[in-house]
This record gives sequence, C-alpha cells and structure tokens, in this order.
Amino acid sequence: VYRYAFRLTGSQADAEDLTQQTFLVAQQKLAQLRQPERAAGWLFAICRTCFLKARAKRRPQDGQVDVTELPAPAPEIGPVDSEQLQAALDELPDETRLILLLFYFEELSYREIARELDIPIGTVMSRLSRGKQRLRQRLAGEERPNDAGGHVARPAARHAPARSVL
Amino acid sequence: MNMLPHERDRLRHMMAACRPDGEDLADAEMSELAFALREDAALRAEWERQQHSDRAIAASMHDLAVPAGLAERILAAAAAAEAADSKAAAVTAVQADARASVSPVQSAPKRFSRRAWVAAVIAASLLTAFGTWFFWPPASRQIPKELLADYVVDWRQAAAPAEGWTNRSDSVASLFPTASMPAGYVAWKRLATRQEPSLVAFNLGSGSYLFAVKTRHKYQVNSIPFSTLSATGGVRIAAWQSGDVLYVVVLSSDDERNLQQVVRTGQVG
Repeated sequence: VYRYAFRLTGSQADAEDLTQQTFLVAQQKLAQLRQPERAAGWLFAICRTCFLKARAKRRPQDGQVDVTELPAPAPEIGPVDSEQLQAALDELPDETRLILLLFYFEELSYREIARELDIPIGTVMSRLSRGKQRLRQRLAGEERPNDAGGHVARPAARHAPARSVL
Repeated sequence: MNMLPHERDRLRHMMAACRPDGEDLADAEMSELAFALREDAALRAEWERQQHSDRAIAASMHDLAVPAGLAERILAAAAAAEAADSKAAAVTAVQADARASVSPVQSAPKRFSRRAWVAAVIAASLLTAFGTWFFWPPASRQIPKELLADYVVDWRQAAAPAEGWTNRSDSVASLFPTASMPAGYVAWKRLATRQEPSLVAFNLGSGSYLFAVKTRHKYQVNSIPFSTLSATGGVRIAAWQSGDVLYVVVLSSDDERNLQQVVRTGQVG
C-alpha cells in the first residue's frame, strides 16, 4: 500500500500519511470487506479514494502534462529507473496517473479498470493510450513540449525526492 | 495494410489496453487488433515495442523501499483509533443505560445501544487481528533452529565492530548466565538487529560471543541442556531459552574450547 501511495503522491511524507489514512479507513470499514482474499485490491481502492478526496480539497492542479492530444508513437524504452519513473508519473494529471497505476501496479485488465472507475471501456483505452505514450516519451528522454515553448510546465513542487526513501 | 489515421489511432488505443504478457488480445473487443497485427508488420513492430516497454515499466513500478518503522506507526495509530472508538462506544452505552433507567419506556434504544457496544468490542477485536495479520508476523512465534542459525550470522556481524564494548556491571550485564558460564566474559554491548530489536552481546574472547536476547518469540531450542545448531566455517553454536531470554553461544573456529567447556550442561539458563 505504501508503494502504491508513493506512486500516487510522489513524496515519502505524503505517501506515509496516505498509507496510514488508508489503514485507518480500512479499520473502520472492515465489515465491508466481503472477500478477504481481495483485501489488497480493497485497500488500493481505499487508498485511491483517500488520495482523490485529499486532492479535491487542494487548489486545482497546475503544471502537469496535457494528455488530451495523442502524441506520436513513443519509442521503445530500456530498463526503467524507479526515480525516473516517479518523475514521469508526477507530471501526469491525477486521473491519468490513477489509470496507469491500475494497469501497471494492480495489473487490472481494461474491463476491470472500467468497472473500478465506473467509466466506459473506450475511455479507459484512450486514457491508457495517451497516458502510456506520455510516460514512455518521458522515460525515453524525449523533449517535453514545453521545452520548445509548448503547453507543459514543471509539476508543482513536491516533498522529498523519491530517491530519499529508497 | 492500408489504414486511415483514425483507424490506426483506434488500434493504438486497443494496444495500450492490453497488459504485458496478458491474454487481453484474445478478448472479443480486441478481434480487430488481433487481425491487424497479423496483417500489418509495422503495427506488429509497434506492438512489440509497447509490450517491451510495458514490461519494463511494470517491473519498475514496485521498486520502492518501505520506510523503516512505518508499519509500527500505522499499527499504533490503528490501536489508538480503536481505543478511542471503544471508549466512545462505552460512553454511548453508559449514556443509553442512564437514559433508559430514567425512562423505562425507552427500553428499545437501550437494547440497541448495548448491542452496538458489543458489536464495537467484537469489531475492535477483529480489527486488531486484521492489523496484526497485515503488518506483523505473529507477536509470538515459533522460530526453528535453522532460522536461528541464520540470525546468528547477522548477530555476529553486528557484534564484530570494536566500538561500543564495555565491562560495566549493571542490569544489562546481569543477563549473563554466570552460573552456567563461570568463565565469564570480557566485555558486553547492546545490539539492535532486524530479527531481534534488543539483544546483548557478551565477548567471550577468541572471537566467541554469547548473545542474550530478551524475546517474545519461542525458539525451538531446549531449555536444559542446550541445543546445538548446525553452522559452517568451523563455528560451533549452542542455544537455550529460559523464559523470555534466549541464550546463544557462538564459538569461533579460533576458539579452542568446546561448547561443554564453555557452558556447564545441566546448569544453563
């Protein structure tokens, strides 16, 4: 759960808080856990909800990558550094980051993601496609659009860098 | 295979929805993609690149260390919340009882409150069990000799540095089992290891140690006489547990004494 929270928040302090909050909520709602063998998915769902609620209280996000435009196919990438991956995730909007976590971290199928987020399968596919292409471009070290005066700004400052927790 | 740009984009969306090494391509929704992949070499190459990248990203996604002590902090917070909930439930029950004693006609709410209180207690017990199961190994568990032998390797490494040793006589030093080890020790120091948070190493000379461990676990060793543990490199290990204290004697290959000389059988603990 901590790892999931860290990938969501991008900071150790926030991830620890989110993890703790997740378990406290789980403690309160334990009776709702019908299938103990699916406890991990249940906890991830609580973690997501807590994260989104916390984000909703903050000011609107700024400085994140616009993924509404479909970029050109991203190049193949080699082994991915954990810190580099986090930096790339941090630049994505929350909804895109969430869907990528459901896909890569929880290894859910597009159908399961659609059910989990209550959105159409087509939306899952297009969001995954755009999010993954942005992620791969970033990981491949390609210039980001704002580097050439485009629409992307640096993400808002976060807490401790990812490497500090590793 | 000729394809319009929007058709290719739709296929890319489908490709993106397929998990690395998953079987999503066999889904009915993916039949168009499966067909296109058979017919279009460029698309197939793109598919291969994407699968490779997805595998690399998925592998990196879990590559994070969990901060030390986080589980303990969360468990403490959960216990505090549980205690607060129980207290609140108890107060509610008492208040309900008080109200009911003043007004007997309110017997229904009284019964409900008691039920709620009992439910809260049961829920608290379940939560504790859940938390323990999730975060920690059982509070007290049986630890086999083979695992202890592995622990000892770490403990010896932790004891090896020259600094920190003392021969001060205090309550810590009193852990030394003088009756069974009359030859005594040269010096001692406290250690914290990942297996046992608090143990004391007594330097027996010649690279040999006695580890005295206040533990909540039950190691599968005798209390009397001691058990011997298998070890490599000429090291000889004897261990016994007396109540909540585990004793482990480790004689190095340089130490010419044998375990029976160092530990008096029959007077251990």
